[in-house]
Amino acid sequence: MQVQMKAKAKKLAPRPRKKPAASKPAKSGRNGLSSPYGYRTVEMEWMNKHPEKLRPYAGEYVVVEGTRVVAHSPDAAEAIRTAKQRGVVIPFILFLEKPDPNVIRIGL
Amino acid sequence: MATTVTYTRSFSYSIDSFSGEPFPGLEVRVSRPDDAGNAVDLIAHLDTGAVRSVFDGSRIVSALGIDLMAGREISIGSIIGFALTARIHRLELSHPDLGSFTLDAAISTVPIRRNLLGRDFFQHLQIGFREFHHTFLITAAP
Repeated sequence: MQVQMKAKAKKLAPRPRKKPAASKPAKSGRNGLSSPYGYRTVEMEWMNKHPEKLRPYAGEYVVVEGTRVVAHSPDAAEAIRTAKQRGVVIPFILFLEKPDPNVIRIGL
Repeated sequence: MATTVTYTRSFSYSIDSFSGEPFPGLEVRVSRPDDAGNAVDLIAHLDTGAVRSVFDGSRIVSALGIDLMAGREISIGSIIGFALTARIHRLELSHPDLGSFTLDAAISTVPIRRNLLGRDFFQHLQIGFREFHHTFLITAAP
C-alpha cells in the first residue's frame, strides 16, 4: 500500500496558520483513519463527528452543504429544489434511514 | 501463488448517523455524460453482490433531467426474487482522486434507500476490503 503516514516532526518554525476547513481530511469516528479524498470531505467529517445533527431528519432526504443541513424533505426532488433555491449548485443528498435494531441491512 | 496488489488510496468506512455502524460507502458525483453541468453528490455502498450499479431514481432523475422511462427496462432481483424495476441509463461518475467513469447504470423507478456501486464499477478499479479496520483500499486501475 502506498498510502504514507508522515512522522511527527519537531517544531522548528512558527506554526503555520490553520488550514481552512475545506482542506481538512475526513475522519471516521470509529477507526480514526483519514479519508482525505472526495468532493465532500468536509461534509463527511462533519456527519461522522456529529450524527446527532442528522437524527431529527430520520426518514427524510437531506442536503448537506459544509457543516449544515440546507434542505430536508421526505421527497428527494423537493429537497434538491429547495437546496438549489438556497444557492447550492451541486447538492449532496442523503437518505436517512430510520433506525430499527431488529433490522440488518443488505445491499438490496 | 502469492499475489500482490498495490493500493494507492485508503478510505475509512462511512458511519451510519443512527446506529453508528460503519459501512463501505464511497462518495461520488453523478451526472449525465452529455450534461456535466447538472450533477448530484451521493454516497453509494460498495456492493460486490450487485452485477450492476443501482441508483435511487428519486434522487437523480429530476436533478439531472433524465427521461427515466426512455431507458431500457430491467428487473432487479434480490435474495427474495424480484425486487423492483429499473431503467438503464448512461451516467458519468466522478471522484476527484479516482477519475471519471461512464456506466450503464440502473436507475430505480421507485424510491430506494441506498445507492449501490456494483461490479460494473469495480471493472474500472481494484478494491480491497479490510473489514476489521473499517477501511477499504482502491487503486485506479482495472
